[in-house]
Amino acid sequence: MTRTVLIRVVSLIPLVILASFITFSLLQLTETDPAIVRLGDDATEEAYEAFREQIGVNDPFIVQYGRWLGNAATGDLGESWNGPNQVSKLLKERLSVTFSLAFGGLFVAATIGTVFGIAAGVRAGRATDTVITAAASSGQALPNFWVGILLVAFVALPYDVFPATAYTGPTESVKDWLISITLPSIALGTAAAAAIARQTRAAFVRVLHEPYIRTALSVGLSRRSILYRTALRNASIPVVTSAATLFGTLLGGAVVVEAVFAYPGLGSLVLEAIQNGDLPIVLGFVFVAAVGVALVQLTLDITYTIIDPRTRVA
Amino acid sequence: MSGPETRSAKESPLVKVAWGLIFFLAGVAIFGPWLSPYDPNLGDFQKLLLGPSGDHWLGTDNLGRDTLTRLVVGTRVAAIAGLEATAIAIAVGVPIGITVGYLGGMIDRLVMRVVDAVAAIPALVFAIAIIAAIGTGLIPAMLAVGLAFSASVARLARGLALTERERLYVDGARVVGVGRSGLLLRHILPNIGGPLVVIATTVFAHAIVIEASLSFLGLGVQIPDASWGSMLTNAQRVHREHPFQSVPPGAAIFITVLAINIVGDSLLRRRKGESFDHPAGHLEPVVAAPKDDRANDADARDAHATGASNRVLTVRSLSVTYPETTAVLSADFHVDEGEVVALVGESGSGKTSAVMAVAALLTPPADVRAAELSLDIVGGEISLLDMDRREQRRWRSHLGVVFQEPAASLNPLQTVGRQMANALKRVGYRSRREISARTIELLTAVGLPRPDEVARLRPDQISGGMAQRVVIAQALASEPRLLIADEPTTALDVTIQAEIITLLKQLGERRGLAVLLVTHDLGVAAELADRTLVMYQGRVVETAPMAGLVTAPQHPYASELLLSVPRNVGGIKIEPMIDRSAALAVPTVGCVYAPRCEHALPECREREPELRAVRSHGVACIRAEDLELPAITAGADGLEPGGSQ
Ligand code: SF4
Repeated sequence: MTRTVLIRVVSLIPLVILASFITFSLLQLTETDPAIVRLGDDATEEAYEAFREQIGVNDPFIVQYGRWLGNAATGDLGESWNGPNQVSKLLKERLSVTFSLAFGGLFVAATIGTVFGIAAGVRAGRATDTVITAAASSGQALPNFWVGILLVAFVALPYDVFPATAYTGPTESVKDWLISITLPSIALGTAAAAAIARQTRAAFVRVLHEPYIRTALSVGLSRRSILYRTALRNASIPVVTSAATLFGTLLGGAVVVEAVFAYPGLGSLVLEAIQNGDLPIVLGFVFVAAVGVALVQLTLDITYTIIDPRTRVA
Repeated sequence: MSGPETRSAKESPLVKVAWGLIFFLAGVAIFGPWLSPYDPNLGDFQKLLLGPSGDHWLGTDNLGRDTLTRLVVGTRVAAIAGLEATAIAIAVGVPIGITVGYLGGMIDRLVMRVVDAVAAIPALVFAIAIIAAIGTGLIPAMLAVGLAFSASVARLARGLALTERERLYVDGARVVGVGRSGLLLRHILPNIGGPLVVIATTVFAHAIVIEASLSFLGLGVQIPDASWGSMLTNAQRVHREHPFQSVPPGAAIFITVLAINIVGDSLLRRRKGESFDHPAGHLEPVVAAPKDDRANDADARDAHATGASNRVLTVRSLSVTYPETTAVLSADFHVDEGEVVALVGESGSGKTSAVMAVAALLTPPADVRAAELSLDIVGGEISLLDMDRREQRRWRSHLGVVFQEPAASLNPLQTVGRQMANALKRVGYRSRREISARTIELLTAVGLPRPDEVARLRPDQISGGMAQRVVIAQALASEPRLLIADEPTTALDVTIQAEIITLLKQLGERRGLAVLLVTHDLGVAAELADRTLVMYQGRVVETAPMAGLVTAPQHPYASELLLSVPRNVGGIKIEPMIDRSAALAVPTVGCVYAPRCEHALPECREREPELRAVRSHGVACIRAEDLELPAITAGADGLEPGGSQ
């Protein structure tokens, strides 16, 4: 078991490094000059050059990347071009908002999605199933930020329960934090819940056609036991497997949804950075997102080996 | 034991509506902007934030611009976005995937790592990074989305190329001298179309949402140009007073994406061919219905009365039909205590349907009817007919079933011990000690050495032969009177086959079990069976004691079947020469075997022969008396299991 976990950890590290390398290379396409970003239009050519020299953009590409990666390994994501701020520090201030929403969305999606997915799966072919399947197919097409806008317009503004724009961090007040992330999490989680419900249901149906279900029936296991023991566990495997990708989608969605609620998350930081041509922040943002997805992937991989013993490395 | 594929050829009305909507939206995207009477970017400051009216069907926005007109322009933007992103994803992903899939080796591993890394970055985040590098706007935004999704397209293409490469290798097509690239294109491109269309719909739908998201953030379509996303940005500014403003653009995204998803789903379903019309699968087997068969009732009662008192299973006039075929037609059979009855016939003869109907394990759309379907158990007789699902459980507890695919018949996630325990709990074992003692006992009884060790293993850790023994042990858990074995040895190696046959034989003898065996292999039947029913196209065409059938078959088909078994005669292996390739239509009138029968006469095609007694066999052939059919002179011992097919 420990070995299995270790192997997963080791295999995820190169993935994250490669992702950062790809992003780093992509950002080389830019025509933005960091010196102008920092010093404005009216500094001297010497001052520009001195700044470029200082932050190392004159070095060969691979040297620059090596330096960045080396620092990133220690948690230092470089300095912003726009001002003498550490990218890690800027991101850290905003991280909690975006990740709160993404996890909130995942929570909403996982709970609602599995509950309805199972409900449809165990009643496969009956009215409940038809209704849930239809609702889930529609729900999947709902753009998260539109749901957010509608929630603000029709829930947050008219009723005084949920804030429309004020984010409270978990360190200030857990209760207010939960309240402040409720609507955005619903906005984010709706389509994802629909996706999970459909996936769960489909996995159930596939499992119910497996020969071992017939065997279970033939040895006299009850419907309940077949559904909730045999089928559920087998059906959960594909759902758990694809949840990491879903988390990535939610993380991307969180950036948009936080804009709807005007929460100070990574999204607004990055939007500002793009306007300013402040690329180290963008790079840091992508890196943090990739690390986040990889960590969720790792957690799920471990869950997966618990559910499905076949995947354990002996 | 799958019934005939029943695929709904017709598309549901919903899918038709979705297609209609897509064509409509495409029309709007192409012609709409020319037709709308207003300028999408020019507002009328006299008419700010109006509600829907005759002049402005969807009202006006905060700058007095006509909402419908902007929505129409947004449709074009969405269409362009979707097309561009999809085209890029395919143009980049397909060549990469095919090339590395075909080349394999180092390059493949390297490129796929890159693809995995790109896929690890959320698409929207990746798009933001590309926009940061090359600038905002619709075109760069969709380039970004296209690249992000090219990863999943590349994976798909690689998978297909790999399969194709394997196939070519097997076919030896590479040595024919066609160049690699020629092969690549000729073999892979036609196969990739289907899956590609499905994935394209997904990319298209995602691209529309991401375009809207990016435009909403101000990274896509730039103000004042209209896009569904940027319209929502505008709407949000005033949504305290005018919440309706955010409805039309959001609804446009929703409806479009929904229509694309519905079409995508239907394409996927059609491609995979797994329609799962009966999603409850094995969980909701069909209930056997009584057949009104008074004509035979008198004979039947006679038969029953004269039948042995140790009768276990009685089946009278069993029919299994599917919407397009008849799997079993009016079959009669019975099994006595300690007797092994074999149902033999080629695949599609209905033998599996017949026994699965007895086990109450057939799934819809099968329709099961019988005049009688009953088991004699301690304390009387029970009938399966019209039993509800709860009672069916009781029925099943009196019979054990052994299936064709032992490995697939066990739950992959549970140890053998757990599965045995589940079965035992069902029949009243409670304490853990009792259960484990009984488990060991049963596993020993089916000839598994070191049963305690086997109990701790999962199905993937044991061989097929062992798995089949476990399935048999499970079937014995309820101490049934009848054991149904559906091709129990087909999936196994020849040596293992013999062992399983010996085991079944022993179980029958030692436990007085009645065994109903289904096999296409006459060798297996000869080893095990006391009596045999030969089935052809759902009909029982001959029934006889095994020895009698082998030495003197009375039905031309039984004879053909016998001669098709490869056997050793004086050390020389004789291979049968029977052409089964001709797909013969089943005649609707007359003898079903007539199209294949060498002895067919015109009369044979007139009415269907009934099963009648001829030289102490039951035979369904009008010419049974006057035919001298070839048999195997060596007797039943001359047949070897595992030979045929
Ligand atoms: S009835 Fe006629 S066609 Fe049918 S098996 Fe007998 S001889 Fe052949």
